[in-house]
Amino acid sequence: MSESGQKEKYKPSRFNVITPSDPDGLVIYNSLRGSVYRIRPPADEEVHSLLHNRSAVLDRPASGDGGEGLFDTLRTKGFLVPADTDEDDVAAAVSSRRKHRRDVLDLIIMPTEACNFRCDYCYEDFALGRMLTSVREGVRRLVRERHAAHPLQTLSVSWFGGEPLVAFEVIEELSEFFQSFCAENGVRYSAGITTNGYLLTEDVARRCLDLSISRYQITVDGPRSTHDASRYLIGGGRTYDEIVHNLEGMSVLEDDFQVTLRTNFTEHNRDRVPELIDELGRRFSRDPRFTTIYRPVGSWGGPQDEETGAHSGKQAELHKLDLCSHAADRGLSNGDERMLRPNGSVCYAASPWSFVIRPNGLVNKCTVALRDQRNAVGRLDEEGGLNLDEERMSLWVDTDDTSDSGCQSCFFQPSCQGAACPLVRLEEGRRPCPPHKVWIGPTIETYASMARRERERT
Amino acid sequence: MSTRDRSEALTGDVDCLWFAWTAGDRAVRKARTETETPVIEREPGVTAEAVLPTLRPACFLLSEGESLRWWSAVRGYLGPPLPLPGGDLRVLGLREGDGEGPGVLAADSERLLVHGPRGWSAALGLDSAPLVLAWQSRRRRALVVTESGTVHQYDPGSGHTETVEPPSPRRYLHGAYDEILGGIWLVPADSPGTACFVRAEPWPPTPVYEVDLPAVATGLGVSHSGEWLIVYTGDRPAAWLYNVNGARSFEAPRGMAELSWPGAFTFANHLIAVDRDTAEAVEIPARADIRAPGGELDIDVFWEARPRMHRASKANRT
Repeated sequence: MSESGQKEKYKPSRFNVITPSDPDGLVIYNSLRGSVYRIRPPADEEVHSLLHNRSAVLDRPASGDGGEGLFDTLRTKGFLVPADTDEDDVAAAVSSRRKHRRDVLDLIIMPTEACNFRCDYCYEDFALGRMLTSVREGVRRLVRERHAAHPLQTLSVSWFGGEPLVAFEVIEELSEFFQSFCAENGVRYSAGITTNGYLLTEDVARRCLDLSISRYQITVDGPRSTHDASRYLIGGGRTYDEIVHNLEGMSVLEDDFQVTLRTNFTEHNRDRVPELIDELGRRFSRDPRFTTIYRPVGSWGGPQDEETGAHSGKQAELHKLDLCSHAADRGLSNGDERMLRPNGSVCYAASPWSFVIRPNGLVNKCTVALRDQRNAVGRLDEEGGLNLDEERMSLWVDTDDTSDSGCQSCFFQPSCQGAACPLVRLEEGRRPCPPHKVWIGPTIETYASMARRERERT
Repeated sequence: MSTRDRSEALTGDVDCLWFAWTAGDRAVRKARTETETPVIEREPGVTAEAVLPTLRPACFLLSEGESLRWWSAVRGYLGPPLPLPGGDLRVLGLREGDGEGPGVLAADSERLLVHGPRGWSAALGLDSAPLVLAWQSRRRRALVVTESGTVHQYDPGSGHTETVEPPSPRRYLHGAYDEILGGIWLVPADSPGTACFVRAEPWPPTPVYEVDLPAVATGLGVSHSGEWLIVYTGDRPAAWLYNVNGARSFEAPRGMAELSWPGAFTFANHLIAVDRDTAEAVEIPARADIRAPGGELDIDVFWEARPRMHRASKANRT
């Protein structure tokens, strides 16, 4: 009862998803909390009856009636909300907080567009070389100017390429500046790198960690033979053994870091990926710093789209979940669960404080459409000015749930905010629903099942 | 490019944005290469016998007689001339060229010399003439490769050196350092129509493979993307482009091969060629192996909207 003596009214959150669990029970998920729970019998029936009708208005059971414990648990976990809650406002606030932040700057820096690999499915053209000296100065001044205009709390840098370690001297030069600037000005600094791992020898890894680079995404496509067939050096040359050797070198370091091992799969190599998982499991399963993700190769605009067996749709997504599950059984953590959290599926390109800095100073929003004029939103000058074209910026940061009534009523709104891929909206004029949202049932069922088996093992 | 090289060889700055060269009249020309047609300027009163590379943006070393002088394409001469040791030297200006540490490296057939605050000193001995004096940017080391195929690494910061001699008695005629793959392309004396690739990173250097060039080489260059070798022939056509990834060769496009210095690659992957006071530049696709289905380098079609690329061939080396 409330203080006024009236019974408190609740309703199921519109951000809930309920799906049957194998072999029994339910899995429930709330996108505003990013939480997934498996409900075992006999509680599953009661939970289903409380949550399945989105327009229901529910009274909290009185103490002693039985069921109030379960009701309160669902309430505290966000699955039941006060009946007068305007959840559209809540979702809008999540989106608004993200978009209007001025205390964060997210830079995706390409120290070079050159790459020592020629992966079959790559969409890049490697046209620009090492970042120009004047652009490096522009980056430093950009950070200084931004902080002077609106004090930054967080500076996040992601090194991307090309292969960023090919121009490691640029990474060193700018990282040293970022570290000292942030330390002097009380700004939280974090950095990550997307690398093919070939040049990430132990000495380079140690230096990267010294430079505060703590997040690593490294792609390994299947066991040695399939990896070497799709991810080879310019002119040919195997790469798998070198990369795995480097990963093992990292695993003996005692530092705190996170390595996400990404595997791109196609219809051609997907049946071999479990062999890779078994091998990685043997090497890294006891090291929580190593997680895995799996991605179907899409039609990314590369030269061999038709040859690589690019695929998408339900089968690709279900296969991805099978691989996640297999990896979990081999003791490898899943790096994808963050995508179910609020903001977790929003593309960096959709945030007005995120910029891709090309080696020639061109400012982009997206790291895929590198030759698309709409993606050329500005030009970094030596004084640190971004010289943004507001009309082009708006194409990326404003074409989200604010202009899409379908997104505004979607259960997944807090996670993706209609902005999982602004490029899809731009190119195809359609809502860019991420695949894990489209197949949310199998996704949360798989995650819950993985968590259950993990608990059983430990 | 060496101190006694009298060709119109183009020398790029560390960003591959500025280029400078000289001709028989010794007048130094410069061009900034951000546009399709580079604007060439002669620098009044600036002369040199050779224009040599440095690691500083817009900067070059100009050699003339017994002296060497830092020169900026933007600011003009930087400081007084340095004495230049005799002989035919390969020269590299370091980034901290006017600081406390080593500022200039020079290699002749006997020594790698270092110029610092106290003048020139020998850093290491060489067994034969240097073919390559290059800078491994990401390792902050100089690399010297000699005619015997011996590879030396030198750290100007610590003075530390490492040397690896090749397993075979083969001799080499030309060489070029590829930053992307971290290796050296070498043209063997006994097979000047081929090039060997020697991986220098990680150390020690290891021969990887040998490719057939389209012509006997009289010089070798490499694009910053690692995708192209420029094979100079001293003949007509004076240059070929060899695509490393596709193992295919193309004539340098649009008659550029007919110019007296047929090519160097710019930052934005344009091939630039000069002939005294004229220059041509053309964008070369960094992935031409997959964009040129035939034998022609049809450069105009490559940058259309996607789907835009298609594979013509794939090298089978593993």
